[in-house]
Amino acid sequence: MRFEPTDRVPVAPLLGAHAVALAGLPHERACQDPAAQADALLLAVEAYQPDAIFTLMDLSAEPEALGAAADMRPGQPPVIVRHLTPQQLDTEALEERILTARVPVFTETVSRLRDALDDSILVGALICGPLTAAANAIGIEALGRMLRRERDLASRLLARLTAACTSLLQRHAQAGAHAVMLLEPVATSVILGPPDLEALLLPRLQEIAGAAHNSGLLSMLHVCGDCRPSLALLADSRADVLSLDAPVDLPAARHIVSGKTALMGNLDVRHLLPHDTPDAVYQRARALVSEMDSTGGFVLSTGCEIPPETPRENVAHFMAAAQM
Amino acid sequence: MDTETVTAELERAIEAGDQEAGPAAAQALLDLGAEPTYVTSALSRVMTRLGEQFQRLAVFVPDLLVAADAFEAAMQVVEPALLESEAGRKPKGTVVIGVVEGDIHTLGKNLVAVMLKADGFQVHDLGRDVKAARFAEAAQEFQADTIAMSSLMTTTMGRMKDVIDLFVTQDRRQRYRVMVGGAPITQQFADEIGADGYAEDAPDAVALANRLLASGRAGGGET
Repeated sequence: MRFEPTDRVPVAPLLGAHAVALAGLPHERACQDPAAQADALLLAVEAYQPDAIFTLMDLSAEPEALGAAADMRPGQPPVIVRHLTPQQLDTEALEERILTARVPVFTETVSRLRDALDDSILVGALICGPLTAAANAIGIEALGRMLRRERDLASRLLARLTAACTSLLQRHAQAGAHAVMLLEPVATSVILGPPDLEALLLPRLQEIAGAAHNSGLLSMLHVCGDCRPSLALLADSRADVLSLDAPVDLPAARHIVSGKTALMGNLDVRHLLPHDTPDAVYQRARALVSEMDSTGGFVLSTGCEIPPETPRENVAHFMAAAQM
Repeated sequence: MDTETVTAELERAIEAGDQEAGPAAAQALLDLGAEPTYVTSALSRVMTRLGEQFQRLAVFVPDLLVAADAFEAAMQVVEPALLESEAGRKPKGTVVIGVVEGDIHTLGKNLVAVMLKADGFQVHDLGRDVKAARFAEAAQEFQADTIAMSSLMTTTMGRMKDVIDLFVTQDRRQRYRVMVGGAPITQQFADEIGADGYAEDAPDAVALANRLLASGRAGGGET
């Protein structure tokens, strides 16, 4: 991740939901019980020997802490069922509020992982980025309309949520995390075009990356979907690692980001990992390693979190592609 | 002002998402004696153009959202006159659309609904978290020919098959063309669950609905 020589390509899939299923743990319990979540993740570490382990992906935790209402449904990730008004989000209290509700489940999970693992395995916390937190807190359609009709308010909310993200990443640093990965699926190019990204989000991403560095954390940024038009801008986010989804061609992306950030990704989790054969998974992962491994600055990973129903053998073959 | 100038103003207002100027221009066209279908054609043209720009990543979701608002506002002005005309009473097709049970993410579904409406389909939007039984009930109630389902989550995409299976159980599968879409959905998944088509995005959904319509096929059983 720091463009230093390694004996093999590091491998760090987003195991969360799959780990929870592997442990036979109800998803909703993993989102509420740090001991259970940490145990499930440790089981996955034991099973697959990754170079990094990340907390469970839960894009409702921060919005719920900010005041939105989340619904727990058996076997499913929590979903936001009642949004806030933009005015409810327009307050300095977010820095404190974001540390409440279920968010401590994730800081406590980090703490437990650090207690159980040595420094050879990177422990990362997944946190909602400011744009995605705004979208999930007030509703993505409300945010979309705000970007066109109330741009100043959108900008102010992103500033407030950036302060809240900073507060949260500092809490993760205290819990012992090595890294934070900012999740920004809403920054995908069909939603947030390059002009909006540059004007509204990029300065916030840079601020958060700086805050992570000041807290001694590695800064990682994950964007879902196709973000090729925005890659050059995302490379300027000051994130140490840019985690990209399957639609992005990573060798091409490497030319665009030109060493400003390491790249991480990006095996397809929609079809390949959950539904194709173990050999197909292995071959695709090997091909990616061969295409990307020559110059360093690459972490083999998945394009997003591995779905719970993914066969264990497929994940094992994915890991083997890097560990051979 | 003449019809051509007002039409240009209507299209500009919709593109800009202007919820006041859009309906005002639509009303001005009617006042100038334009047929309601002339106004809806102009609205359809601008929404189609925006859809094409969206697919080229020249405009983005926020632009479509505000344009959709302006489109809906303009349609409210035109619809009463449209319903009085012969052409207005004959939609291209009737679509029942919804987000499947367990899922509350409506953005994609809403954009598809507006784009279908702009293209001349009659759209009955069931909203979010829609149970299979409600899809079946609404399909019958509105005499739909097309069912459009959306899911954003891998944990709920399986509910789409429940809807199709229910149509099969009720011996009504052949009556409907079933379209599916949403972030985790793929063509392969659509094929596996027996849907008639998969759409990548809202403009693609309109193209798919038209293809299915033009094929004249009843739903189910196609390759």
